Amino acid sequence: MITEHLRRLAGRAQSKASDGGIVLDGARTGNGRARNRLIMTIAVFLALYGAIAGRLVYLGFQEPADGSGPAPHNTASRPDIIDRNGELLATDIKTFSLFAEPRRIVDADEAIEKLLTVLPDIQYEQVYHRLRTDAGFVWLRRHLSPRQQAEIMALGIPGIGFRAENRRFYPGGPTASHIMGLVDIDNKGIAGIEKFIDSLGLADLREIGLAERETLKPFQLSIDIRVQHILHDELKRAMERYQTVAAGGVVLDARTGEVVAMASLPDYDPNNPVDAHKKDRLNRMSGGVFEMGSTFKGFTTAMALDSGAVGLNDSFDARQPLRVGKFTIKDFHGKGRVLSVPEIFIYSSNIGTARMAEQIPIEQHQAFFRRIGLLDRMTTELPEVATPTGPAEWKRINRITISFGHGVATTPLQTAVAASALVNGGMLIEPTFLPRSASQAAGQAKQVLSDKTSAAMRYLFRLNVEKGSGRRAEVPGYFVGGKTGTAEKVVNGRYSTDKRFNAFLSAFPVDDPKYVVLVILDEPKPEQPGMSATSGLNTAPVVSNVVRRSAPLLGVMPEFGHESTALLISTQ
Amino acid sequence: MFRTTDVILIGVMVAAAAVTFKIKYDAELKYEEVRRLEAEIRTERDTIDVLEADLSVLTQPARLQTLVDAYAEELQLQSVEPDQIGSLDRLPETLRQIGEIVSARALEEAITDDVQTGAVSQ
Repeated sequence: MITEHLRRLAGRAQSKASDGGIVLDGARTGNGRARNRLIMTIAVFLALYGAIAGRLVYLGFQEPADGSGPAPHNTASRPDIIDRNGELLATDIKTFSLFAEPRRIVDADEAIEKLLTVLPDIQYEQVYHRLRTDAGFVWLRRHLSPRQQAEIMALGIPGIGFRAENRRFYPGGPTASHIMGLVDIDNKGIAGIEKFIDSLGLADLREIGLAERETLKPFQLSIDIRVQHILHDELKRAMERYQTVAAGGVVLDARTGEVVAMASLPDYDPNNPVDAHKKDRLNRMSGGVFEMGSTFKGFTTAMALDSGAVGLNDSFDARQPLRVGKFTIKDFHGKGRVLSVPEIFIYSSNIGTARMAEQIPIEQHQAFFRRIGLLDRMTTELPEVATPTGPAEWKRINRITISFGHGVATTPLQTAVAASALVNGGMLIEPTFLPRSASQAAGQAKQVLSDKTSAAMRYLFRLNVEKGSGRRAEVPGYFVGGKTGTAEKVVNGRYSTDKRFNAFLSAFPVDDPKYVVLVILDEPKPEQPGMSATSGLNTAPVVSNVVRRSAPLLGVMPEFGHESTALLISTQ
Repeated sequence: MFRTTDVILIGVMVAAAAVTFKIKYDAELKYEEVRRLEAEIRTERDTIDVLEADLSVLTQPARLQTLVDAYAEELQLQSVEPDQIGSLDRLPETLRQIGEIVSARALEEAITDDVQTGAVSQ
C-alpha cells in the first residue's frame, strides 16, 4: 500500500514537471534522477519515522520498570473504640512507609544528607549500602507520621516514594488488651471486642465497600479507662509483691451489669502482639475456669437463707471434721465450737457451710447455682468465654465440696456477675462491655433470690470485712463488704497444700452496692518468709487499693456515718 | 471579497472558540484546585487522627502516673484520701451561721475587752 502511495506521489511530480507548471528543483537535472532523489528522501524520512513509531510501539508493550515493590496492601478501616467517657481506646492511623528505588537514585550521598534533616536517627552507612545496591526496591523506614511524610516530600529527592498503610493503634498499650482483643494484618478483628465489632456486620459493610473511615461512628464501650488503669496497675504490683503466676480482676456495675474494668495478667501489648498467643496470656477472667474456693460460700449461704430452711440466727456444729465416705472435711482456721451462720461466714468454716448446705436437697442446691448462672456458659460480647466444668450429677460429696467452692470450676467474671445478684437485691443481670442504662438492665434482669436474702448477704459481706477474714479490704468511708476465697489448686489430680488460688469478692458501698470488685491471684507466695499467703493477706489489700483509688472516679462519695447494725435490722 | 456578515460571523466564531477555550481552561484550573484541596483535607484528616492518638497517649492514666511518681517529691504530691472528699451540702448546718457567731462574739468582746495591746493607749 505504501509503495502504491509512493508511486502515485512520484507520478504526480512527474506529471507536474511535464506540465511546465510548478517544477521541482531536481526536475531540471533530469526526470529519472529527480524521481530517484525524491524516492530516496521519502524513503529516508519514512524509515526514520518508521523507526520512531516502531520504538514507540515497542515501548508501549514494555512493562514499566519494576520499581514499585510489593503490591500496595489495602488495609480496611475500622471504627474508633472509645470508653464510657469518650476517651480513645483504639483508632486507625494512616502511616507512611518510605521506600527507595536504588536504580533511580541519582546521588545516594545527597539523598541521605537530605533525609537526615527529617529523620536524624537513620544509620548513614547502612542506608548508604542499601541505596548503592542494584535492587529495584528497598524499604527505608516503616510507619512514618503524615508530618514526616510531608517534610520528606518537600525535600524533593528523586527515587524515593511512600506507601500509605492503615494501622490499628491502641494508645493505652496493654492496659485494656484483653478487652480490646486483636486485629490481624488486614485489620480484621480476630479477638476480643474487635472481633465482636466485625461480627456486628462491619465485615459485610467492608465487602460492599461501605466501610469508609469517615462514615464509621466511634464504638463506645462501658469501660472506664481510668478505673481500668487502676485495676491493671494494682494487679501488676500484686503480681510482683506476691510473686504470682497470674492475676486478674473485674469491676462490675452492680445495677447495670456493665463491666467498668477488667484485666488479666500476664497480658500483651496489642500494638505489638508478638506474645499474644502464648498460653499464659489467655484472658483468665472470662476465658479461664477456676475452682473459686471460699467465695462460693457466699452463694451457698444465700441459697440456704433464700430457701427459708436456714435463718441468720441458726447454728451449726463445727467441732468435728465432717466425714463423707473416705473424705474428711476440715476447717482451715478451726474454731472447734458451734458456730452461728454469720460466724460460719466470717470464719469461712468448711464444716459449717457443708452442714448448712445439707439442710437443702441436692437438686435444689444445683438448681440454685444454675439459676445464678455459675454452671452454664455465660453470654457476653467477648468471644473468649469458657464453659464452666463440674459433675453432671451431684452426689453428696460433690455438693459438700461445691458448697465451699471445690469441684466446680467457673469463670471469675460470671462469679462476679452472680455476686452482684447477691448484693443488688437479687437481680441477675448479664454482663456487658457496652454501655447499658439502669432501665435497660432492669428490663432483662432475672430475679434469682429475694430482696430479704440479698439484704442478709450485704450484712454478712460487711461483717466479714469488719470482723472476719476480709479486714484488710476495708477502705474508710466506702463501706466495703466482701468474702475471701483461698482455694487449693489441683496439681496432678490432687489438691496441693502449697499452691493456692486466691480470690476476693467484694461490693461497695455495701449498704447500697454500686460496684462489685473481684480480684484473683493465682499461686501467690507469702509476702515475707514465714507469713501466710491466704486470700485475706493478698487479694483483700488489692481490692482495698482498687476501691480507694477508683471510687472517687466512679462518683461514689465517701460517707463516714455508716452503721453496720442498720444492715442487720434491714434483714429482719 | 468577504462580505460584512462573513467578517462578523468569523469574529463571532473566533470569539466563541476563545470563550469556550477560556471556560475549559478555567474549569481545568478549578479541578486542579479541587484535587489539591481534597488532598489537603485528606492530609489534615490523617493528621487529626494522629494528633488525637497522640493526645490520648499523652493523657494515658499510666503515663500520668509515671509522671506523678517521678515528680511526687519535687512537687510534694500526695494521693487524695477518702476523708478529704466531700460536698458543700454535707457540711453541718451550724457552720452556715458562723458569720453570725463571729459578729456576735465580736460585739460582746468590744464591750468587755480589757486586753492591753500596743495599740491601746497605756
